[in-house]
Amino acid sequence: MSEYIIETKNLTKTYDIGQSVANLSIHVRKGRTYGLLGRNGAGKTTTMKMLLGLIKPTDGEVLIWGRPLFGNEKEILPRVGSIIEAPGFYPNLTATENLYIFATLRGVVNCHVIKDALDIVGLPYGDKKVFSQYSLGMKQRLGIALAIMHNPELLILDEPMNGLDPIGIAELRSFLRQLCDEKGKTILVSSHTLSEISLLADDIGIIDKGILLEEQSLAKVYTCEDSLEEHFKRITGGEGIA
Amino acid sequence: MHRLLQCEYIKLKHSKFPLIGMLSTLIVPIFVTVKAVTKYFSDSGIAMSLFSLYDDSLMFLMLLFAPMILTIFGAWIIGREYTDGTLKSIFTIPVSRTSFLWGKILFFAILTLTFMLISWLEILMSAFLCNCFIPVTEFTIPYFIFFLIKMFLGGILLFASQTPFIYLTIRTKGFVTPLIAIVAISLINVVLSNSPIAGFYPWSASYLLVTGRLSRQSCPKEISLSIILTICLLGIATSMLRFKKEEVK
Repeated sequence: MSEYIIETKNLTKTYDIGQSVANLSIHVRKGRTYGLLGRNGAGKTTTMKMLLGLIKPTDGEVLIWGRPLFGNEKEILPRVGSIIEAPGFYPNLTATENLYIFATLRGVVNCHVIKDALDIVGLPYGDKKVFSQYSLGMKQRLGIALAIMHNPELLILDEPMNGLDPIGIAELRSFLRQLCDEKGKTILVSSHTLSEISLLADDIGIIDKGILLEEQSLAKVYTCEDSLEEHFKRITGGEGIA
Repeated sequence: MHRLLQCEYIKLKHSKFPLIGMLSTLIVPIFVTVKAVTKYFSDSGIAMSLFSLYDDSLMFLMLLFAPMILTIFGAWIIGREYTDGTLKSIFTIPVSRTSFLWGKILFFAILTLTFMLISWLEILMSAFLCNCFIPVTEFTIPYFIFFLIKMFLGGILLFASQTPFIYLTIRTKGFVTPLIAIVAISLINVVLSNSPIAGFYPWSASYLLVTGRLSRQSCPKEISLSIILTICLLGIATSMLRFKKEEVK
């Protein structure tokens, strides 16, 4: 059994316009929060999409719980919760109806499951407001509710703080930390906001132009540098990002 | 599969789509009834007949109107998953792409048959209303049933000839290209409908088969049916292949 929940081996994705991700090898350990850091267009979302089987790698391998993802999606993906970019929902339906559809597809139709997920993110159950009338922050909250609704063991979250107000960000951070610390969940979170990752992650991976520049524990970073921003600047050889 | 169909049904909630769909089914029955009433008053003595009401409706529906409306319905059912960005959440559940698309195709087939059956009912109601004021011949139960069967068969053949537009929707992720294609195809339908080669053209052949007019053409019934079936299977197979290798970018 692998000690890593997520492990990629030389993961590569090439499009007609060039390489988006090149020979990426990341290692996410059980019960840890792993922050994938990089500027816009660094390859974070492409990596996460490959980890969820939404796009096929040009080369390399994705192992989740020590098993290759491709070919084992039916066993692996039900244990994973995810948000990729802006959450996609049906605009004419309410939050409850949207979650009901995904719960039905998952085979976990239960009013309590939907209500609990909405309670956690602070959205009302049975509200009449449809998704198209939601603010950006509310849409993001619903995306988080969808990701956690089925009590997954692993969360893959692409920029989950996007659109949330400061209180919402603090609440989500505290919730994710709680999931990790108290329930032993493993979280892979991507962000271009260094301050957020510094408050949330146990381990970090810095990615730039599709290449993983560094992977280590955040505690180790702080033994050498004053701040994550200083470290990021040094590693990427350029400006900070936030 | 029933879960997928149940979800498709829920997705229609609070949407204008069912209302627009219902209103669209009224167009042909109203048009055909107005045409028949006008003819009755201009050529007095020529009675309105239930047969001609249904026969005209089948022509307008199957050659021109229904293919266009159904292409819009089909493109909306499938295209919205791309425009609403929901595929990334569905595929990571995971839902099998093949089952998901089969669910969509089956739902589209149900919509097509519903469209034809509602049209049948509306023509019947319009004939009933007309019969209160002017005589409508052949207004009998055997004729109702006869045309119910024809409309149902028409729905099946319409669905079969619509599957290539499902592929076009998946390929282009929108409804503009399928709509342009179906407009062109419907115009060719109008041009070909009385031509001896119409039986070889799947979209006209459906109408000719349902109305029994194919016997007047040079094309054998078996050939027309084989062409429609080939088009149907080709549409489904290409849609499946395309959808299975689709990347959610």
